[in-house]
Amino acid sequence: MQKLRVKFTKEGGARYISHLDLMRTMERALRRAKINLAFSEGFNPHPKISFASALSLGVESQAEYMDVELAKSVNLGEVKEQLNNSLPGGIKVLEVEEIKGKGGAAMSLVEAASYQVKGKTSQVWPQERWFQVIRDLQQQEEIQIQREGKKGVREVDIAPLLLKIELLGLEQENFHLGLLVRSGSRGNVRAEEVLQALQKYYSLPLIQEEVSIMRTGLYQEQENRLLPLISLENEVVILKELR
Amino acid sequence: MKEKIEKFLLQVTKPARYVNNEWNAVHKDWSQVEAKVVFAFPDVYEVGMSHLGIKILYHILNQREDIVAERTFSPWVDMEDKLREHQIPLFSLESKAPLGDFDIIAFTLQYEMSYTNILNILDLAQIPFTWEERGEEYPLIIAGGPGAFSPEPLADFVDAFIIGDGEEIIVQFVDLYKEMQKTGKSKKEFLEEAVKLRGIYVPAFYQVGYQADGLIEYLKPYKEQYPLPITRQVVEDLNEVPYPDHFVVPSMEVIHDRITLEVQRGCSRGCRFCQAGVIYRPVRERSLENLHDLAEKLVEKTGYNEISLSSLSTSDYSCLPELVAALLDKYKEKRIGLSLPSLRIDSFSVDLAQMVQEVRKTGLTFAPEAGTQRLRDVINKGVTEEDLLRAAESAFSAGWLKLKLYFMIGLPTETYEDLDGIVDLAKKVAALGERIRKEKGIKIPIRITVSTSSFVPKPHTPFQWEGQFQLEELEKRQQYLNEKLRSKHIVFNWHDSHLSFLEAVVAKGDRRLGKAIRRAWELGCKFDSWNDYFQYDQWLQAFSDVEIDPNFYAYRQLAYQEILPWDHINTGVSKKFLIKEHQKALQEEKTPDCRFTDQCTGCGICPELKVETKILRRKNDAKVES
Repeated sequence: MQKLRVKFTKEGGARYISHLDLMRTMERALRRAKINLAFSEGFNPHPKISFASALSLGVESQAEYMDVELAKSVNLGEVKEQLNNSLPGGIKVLEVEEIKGKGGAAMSLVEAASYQVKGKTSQVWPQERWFQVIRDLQQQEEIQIQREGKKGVREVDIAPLLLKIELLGLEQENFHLGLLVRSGSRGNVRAEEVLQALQKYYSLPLIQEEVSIMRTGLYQEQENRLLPLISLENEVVILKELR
Repeated sequence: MKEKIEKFLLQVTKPARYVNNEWNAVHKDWSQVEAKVVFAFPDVYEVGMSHLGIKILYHILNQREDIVAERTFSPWVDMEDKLREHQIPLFSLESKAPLGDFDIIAFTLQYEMSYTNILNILDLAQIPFTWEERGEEYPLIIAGGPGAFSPEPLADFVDAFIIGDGEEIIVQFVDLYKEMQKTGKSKKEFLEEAVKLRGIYVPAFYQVGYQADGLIEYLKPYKEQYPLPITRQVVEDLNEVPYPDHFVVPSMEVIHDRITLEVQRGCSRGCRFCQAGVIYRPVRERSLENLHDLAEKLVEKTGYNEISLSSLSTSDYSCLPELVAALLDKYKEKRIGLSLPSLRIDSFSVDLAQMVQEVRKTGLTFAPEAGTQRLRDVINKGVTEEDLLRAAESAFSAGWLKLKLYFMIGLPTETYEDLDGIVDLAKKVAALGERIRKEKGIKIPIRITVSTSSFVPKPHTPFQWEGQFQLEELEKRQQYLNEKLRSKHIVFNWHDSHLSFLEAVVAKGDRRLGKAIRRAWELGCKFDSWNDYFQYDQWLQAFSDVEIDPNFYAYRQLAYQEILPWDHINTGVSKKFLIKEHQKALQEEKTPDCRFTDQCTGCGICPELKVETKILRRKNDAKVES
């Protein structure tokens, strides 16, 4: 039995595919690619596919991960192309790696996520204002936001989960932010929630319809360093240097 | 257009309904095609994408390089608000082009209560409702599907109805359109040519006159060359017309989210309330070879994990056991399941259902339709209590704990004794189930769901002359059942009879009814088949505003000699046969299915349409015809 970790994008029209539908979409694509899936035992067998992290509806991503168990081994060199020929528009496989041994599931590894947020304000915020607000926000001991869950709306403090915010670009009303936040079982922040905090604490005049969010990375943590879930040599973030 | 829509797409529910990244969707360069057709399904995406007819026709037209076919659906109410707020005309999914940019908009008429949605689609597309108002600058509006067999309520709005099997005619129709357009001919000139094709009904070419008592005096063509009656299209051999070898695979869950394999078309069981049993005659089975070939291609090209063997009565497909066995065997390893909708009530069907369950477990539904043998004879439902109990016993023994029993109430001649029959059957089935479950030592109690809908008399059936029971009486009967069916093993649910009343009005309506549909839409009616949006009071208001009495259509017992609003549409089944069947019904006399007896019932379909029933294997005949 072979286990693969697949890194893929979810962009354009694909950002409207819900997490549950993504599961179906992937199963179908894997079937079309003639990849032999492994199934769970039991009354209602389902393919062993799991995703590292759910992505909010409407958010794009350049770094989604899924783990897939196969019944029959595949050639790693060919599987990427086979899959890419079977995926609907907006979803593209970037890398495929075989997971050997007891490596934990992608889902259990995730400790942080990075996002790029592009948006527009109804009036111009000068660069100094942005810098000051970002500095100030990162120094807060407590940042309360409203999170909608299954049991209704509740208050969540995202201050300890916010690792880094930076202004990547600014042109009149158009801004471009980079975010690094905690993600996974120990705590989670959504990019929209950071915007919500900026609106709440600093009255950011955000035009909601003009926001676009892209997830750019999902990370695991090893000895105070954040590493991607595959191709470990890339993109290392040293946590100590933050804040 | 795409950018404009994206601005608010996240503010509506299920935005994937409006995006076009579905696998196998066809995208063509408009500058390279000569005719542009959009199929419009007057309900939401997940309902429309479950419909086989559009999949077939979409595939057939898109096989042609010079034609593009795209799709559109009714936007859900939140999306409609956004489109209106931003003044964006309704668009096709594939190229996001406004519907007005297409040459032809083709509506599917699956159920009467979708007609206000048709008007809503036209309005959202900024296209006038009636052919009188629409000039040459607007697309041609056509419509097909079962609703086209009683087209008059939509006669004001539709340029041409296509009646019958669409596979062959749709291509001829679009080809003719293309040719006529090239030579700069007008819509009317085109339609004059089009009616020379079989199955094309252009309501503008016919005049209807009424008597003082409201009955139809005549329906006649304005010119002699316009056909009367309009005879439906029929595909002689399903193996000879294209069937899609790939389906568009939605990126969101839809109602029928699986491969649909049409194993046969038509059903000659002859249930007297059933319109499908008339308008899809004769029975034509698809060959095993064709089915295996399609299954293989569809599995490969869609990635679906389930195949549904679809038809009006799948148990009747003569080679079903070997088809099921072969498909199960072939796809077991890939974990591709089979589903068998519309199974008959017999042990044979339960055995098949059990075979299929090896891969996936679903519920089991039986439809005795009526509670007593007398009433089942009236409707010609050839099922006995013994059949039902035996089938239920097989099901319980095989491990099913939940069964659903489907009945109709308000059938012609129904009495309270027949209702007691429903109660009796349900209780017998429940008791049987409890006994078997206890014998097997299972702890979970049996649950029987009894589901009823109210009888709606349908055009072209032996019951077309019947009036519906008064609404109050139907509700009384529902209440009666509700009280009598109280049991911890039985759940009772019923369809809103107000909806059934309106279905009868629209189904049996004539040309005058268009005004009422239009008025209902003006009063805000849409998504009428969705409980939350059905506005019965507004419909009544609409009838009153346009001075139409809905009771005239729903309740009245029609006379054989009347000119019926759908008499000019020829299904191939003779009126003489329908009258005979109606009379036999009242005498509680059954008519056997010619498919199993080889005895002609004289319905007229084969000689009238010059076709034959195509059965692969007759009873007691081991050889399969190729």
